[in-house]
Amino acid sequence: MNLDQIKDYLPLLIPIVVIQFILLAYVLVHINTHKSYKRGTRTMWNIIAIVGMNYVGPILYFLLGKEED
Amino acid sequence: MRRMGAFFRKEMMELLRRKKLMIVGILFLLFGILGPATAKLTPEIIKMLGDSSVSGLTITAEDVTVMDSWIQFFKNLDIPMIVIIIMWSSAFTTEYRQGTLIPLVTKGLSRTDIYAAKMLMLHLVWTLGYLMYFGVVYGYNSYYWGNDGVKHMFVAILLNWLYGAFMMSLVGLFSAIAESGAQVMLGVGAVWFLCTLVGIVPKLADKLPTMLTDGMSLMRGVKSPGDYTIAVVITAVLTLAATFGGAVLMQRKKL
Repeated sequence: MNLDQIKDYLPLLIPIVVIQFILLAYVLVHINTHKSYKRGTRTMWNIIAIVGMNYVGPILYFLLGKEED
Repeated sequence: MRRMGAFFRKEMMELLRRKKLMIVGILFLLFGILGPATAKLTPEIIKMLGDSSVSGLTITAEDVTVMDSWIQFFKNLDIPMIVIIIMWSSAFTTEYRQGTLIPLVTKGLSRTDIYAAKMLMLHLVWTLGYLMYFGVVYGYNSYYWGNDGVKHMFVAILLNWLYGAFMMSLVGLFSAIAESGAQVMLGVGAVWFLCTLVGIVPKLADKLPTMLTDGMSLMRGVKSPGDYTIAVVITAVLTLAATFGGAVLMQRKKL
């Protein structure tokens, strides 16, 4: 892939990246403002969210970590 | 009407506080991007396969047109729609289980108001989500390929919306009967399965609600909007029947 091709894909990539970081920010705030989770600890969820920041981490947290308010 | 408005506002709060609206919005947005992205990347993927030279196959890539992206539009729509159905399958049943509707009904809120407010919210979410999904795909398609060759686009879009509205009304109907969210999902799934099963018979296939999802034939110009008349009438009648049937059954529902 050369630069021109990447430029061609930019309109597709930008929104995906933006949503990714919005989700990451939301999940990190949620993790660090809540005391208990369905399972796991705060450190564990922080690591998972950051390591899997390309959607995997936040989705895992929503499914397995986030407690219903 | 005023009572229904109050209940509708309560539903709105729930939608925002449980982050349901955010999830549905992101989902429709992502799947909207996915369609054009898949179409755009197909030649690259085929080229990569061709380069591997392991299989010895020569693969020639056809030019991607706007039609490839619209195919993805109709294909990808299933997933956000299923997610909405799953999320709303427990909209009524959780309230039955927790008994949260009992105080409202004993204080004089009619069951019809409850049903109408919840259904209105569901249809609103589906319509807005679908509009956004269409907007995203339409934007990318006109940016990358241009939508000039697409025939009857808005008819095709509208037909698919009606199909979704039919599915949403089924959620309401089964919510008035079922005790748990799983039963609601099972009911909607059973109707969908029945439609697919009956659709195997060629003579009946173009009279079923599932016919409305075939927007590609319209866009390609294979079929004309007139071919869908019977399917539209049948789907509209079924949607209204499910909606009013649900309202009637709701009166007798044990809360």
